[in-house]
Amino acid sequence: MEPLARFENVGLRYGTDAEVLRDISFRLDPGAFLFLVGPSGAGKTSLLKLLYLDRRPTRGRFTLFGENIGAAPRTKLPALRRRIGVVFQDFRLLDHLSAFDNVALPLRIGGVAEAEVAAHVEELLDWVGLARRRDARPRTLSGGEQQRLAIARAVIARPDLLLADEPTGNVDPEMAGRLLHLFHELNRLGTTVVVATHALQLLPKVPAATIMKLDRGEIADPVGALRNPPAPPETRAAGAAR
Amino acid sequence: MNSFLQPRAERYRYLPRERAARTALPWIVALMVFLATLGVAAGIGLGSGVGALGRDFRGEITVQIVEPNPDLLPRQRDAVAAMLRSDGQVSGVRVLAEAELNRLLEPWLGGADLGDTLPMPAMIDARLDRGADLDRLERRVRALSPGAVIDDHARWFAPIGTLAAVLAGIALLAAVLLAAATAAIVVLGTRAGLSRHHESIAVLHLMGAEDSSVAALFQYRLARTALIGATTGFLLAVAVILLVGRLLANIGSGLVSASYLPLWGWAALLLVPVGAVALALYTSRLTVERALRHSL
Ligand SMILES: Nc1ncnc2c1ncn2[C@@H]1O[C@H](COP(=O)(O)OP(=O)(O)OP(=O)(O)O)[C@@H](O)[C@H]1O
Ligand SMILES: [Mg+2]
Repeated sequence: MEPLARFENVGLRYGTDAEVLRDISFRLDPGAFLFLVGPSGAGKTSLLKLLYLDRRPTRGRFTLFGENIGAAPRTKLPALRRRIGVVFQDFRLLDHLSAFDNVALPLRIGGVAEAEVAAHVEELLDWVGLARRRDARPRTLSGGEQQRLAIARAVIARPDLLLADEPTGNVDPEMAGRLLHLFHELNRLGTTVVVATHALQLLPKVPAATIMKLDRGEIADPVGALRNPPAPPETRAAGAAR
Repeated sequence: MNSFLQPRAERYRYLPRERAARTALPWIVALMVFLATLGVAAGIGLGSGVGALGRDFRGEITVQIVEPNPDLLPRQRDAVAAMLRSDGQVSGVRVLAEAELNRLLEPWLGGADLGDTLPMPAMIDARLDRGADLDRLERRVRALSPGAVIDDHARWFAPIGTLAAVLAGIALLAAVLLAAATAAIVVLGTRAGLSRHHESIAVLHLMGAEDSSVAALFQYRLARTALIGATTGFLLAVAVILLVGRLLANIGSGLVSASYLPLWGWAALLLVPVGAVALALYTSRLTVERALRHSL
């Protein structure tokens, strides 16, 4: 099977700093569910930036949707980006838009008719429990509400690839479980999902998931070795690191 | 992707609303269009005025016969007139009557009948055919009347024509420079907007918005501003042109009244505001697309 994404000895550096990702090699198959774990500063967000086409790799070969990203002309990238949904670690909601318009953004960029947009957005807002805040500005929402809004925006257009950076950091365990359930459902419908997280207690909730650990810019474990999540003490340590 | 470009309000709120009137841009556009319209009007007006005047004068000559001896004067005058009438290159020969001459001189001489005390010249108006040889004609006239002078009006028309042409050129050049300045201001304004909305644009970009769509957001915002500014500037300029036209008509001098705008000139003037808006939109689009080209 043609992988959805393939990393071959990929390296990434910001400017002239030292590499924050080194010798990254792995493949992501269509329909996979990947947890990305590792201590703060390990490079999880940086790896996601490569996946959501914010950066080109500075070394190695990275292929996404069959396109060699290092060499692809930039005019090809928007169409690829429209197949990707991203929950940013810092949400990046547009403050001048209502909750509704934030969620509608990917559909409108994708050219979906306005009547359809409204129906979809209302349904999803309801699902994440923000139906009554549809006209609220993100700034007036609580941290958890903003997070749910960011997730709604990421999944609204049914992306082929869903990337979530610490998507449950600001919600209570119950909501975290619900959100993960949403990811799981989308995954079952065919969406490839990558979740970067410190919340190791979430890992067992997706039994079929692959787990990849990053440490100081390198893959610390062979893919799949962490299939059985670590013991509680490490969970506490990871929680304390945040 | 196309519907992203449709002018529907909800799609253009992707960038925060900004009160255009609070920025200087509409006023600057108004000022630029105002000045450029006046410049083009002056250029066209002077140009067509000079052209019309030149057409009128081309070929018009006046033969002035100066002869101190009052007995010889009429004879010389008639001989010259007869010679001109018989010349194949001359037409419309007309001897100015003494009464006509007196009327022409009246403002200077105060109506006193000085015909006896002051030697009056005789004047003959005529029109040369195209390509007529003025030197040959002058020799023939001099043979009949040694003191005769031929005035072909070119002598005084030439410097005025040159001056008018230079002024017209300067006016048009000023309009071009104003266009360049407008483009520069749009570039600066668009760049400021790009950095002010950097985060929103980055998010749109990461969600797969095309460069052209982001440029369209800026163009949409600019279009209103530019339209308002251009219309204001143009209307003010038209008011000024109409006013100046009236004043010129009152002067009644050949050059200035001929300088009044021809109909095609008005049509050309309309190109100034339309061109200014088009220039602003195009410049803004180019600026956005150039800036985005540096991102991935
Ligand atoms: N824009 C940037 N410019 C320079 N260095 C950066 C930039 N972004 C991240 N880094 C550096 O890259 C390294 C990896 O950062 P990254 O954000 O990928 O880590 P992370 O695993 O997501 O951490 P966390 O769990 O805290 O979110 C860090 O050392 C960080 O300082
Ligand atoms: Mg991170």
